[in-house]
Amino acid sequence: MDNKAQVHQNIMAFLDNYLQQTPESIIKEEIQAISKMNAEGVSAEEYFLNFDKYYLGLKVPVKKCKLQWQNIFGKHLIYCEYNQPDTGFCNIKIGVDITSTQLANT
Amino acid sequence: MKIIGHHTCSSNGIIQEIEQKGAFLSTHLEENLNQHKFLGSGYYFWDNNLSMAHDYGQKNYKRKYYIFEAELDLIDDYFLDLAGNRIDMLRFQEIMSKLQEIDESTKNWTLVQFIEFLKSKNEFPYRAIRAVNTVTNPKKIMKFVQGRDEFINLNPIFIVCILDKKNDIVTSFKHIKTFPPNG
Repeated sequence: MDNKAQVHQNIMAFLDNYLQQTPESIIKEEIQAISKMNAEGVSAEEYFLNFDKYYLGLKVPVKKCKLQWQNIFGKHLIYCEYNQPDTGFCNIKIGVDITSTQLANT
Repeated sequence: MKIIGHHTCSSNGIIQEIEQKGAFLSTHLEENLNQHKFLGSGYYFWDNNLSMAHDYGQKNYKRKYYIFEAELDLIDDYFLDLAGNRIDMLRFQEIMSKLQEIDESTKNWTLVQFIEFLKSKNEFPYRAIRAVNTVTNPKKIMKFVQGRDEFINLNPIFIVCILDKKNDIVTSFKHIKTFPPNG
């Protein structure tokens, strides 16, 4: 494991310990304190979910997207969303960790 | 990885003194909307983007500002690259997922809230963060090929936040512009 992977593992280990060893009421309190931050900008989830949509402006025809893009990126790294039925295009979201069942539903 | 960073500040102060002291700390203050920083408190640079440095000065310093150019030596082990390193992005998403297991309300958290939570626990060892501002300007994107709709952005806006000025990431810091030129 390289140093950077170790840095990440340490954070994950901390979160596991935090979850297991901190009373639920304290966790709620601490999460709420951060939640009250009225921070500017998009949510982290929005940032990642829409990273490629905004960054590269990816759109492909609905009929083609699944086969074409899965072949390029692998089925676990791509999510097609049929949210533009009027135009016949769907947004491509890359890097979203989803199950193959969800993919099948698209 | 070495990159060029551009830093904008108000043109109050002596240039040589600012060069010696280095970039100004931007503090994330909850009570002040103007003090909300995308990546939390830290020393902010535009990744090789003089245009954004000017844009920031025009909007934030009433058109009277200095621009400094720095060389940033981003040490990979402690550099969280949310703009160009997919492994870093996937790992950060893993952190987000873990926190969302703990409490669903964190699904509404902004990027800075995740960062500030880890900082509050002394569990954010990174010394620098880079992210891309995903504003899509139609003038700055171009098609990969004709007949398809996919685009590439050859002028993305990368934001770099250095968390600690003492850690040798900023290896040079030089004044390059004053605006207005005779100001």
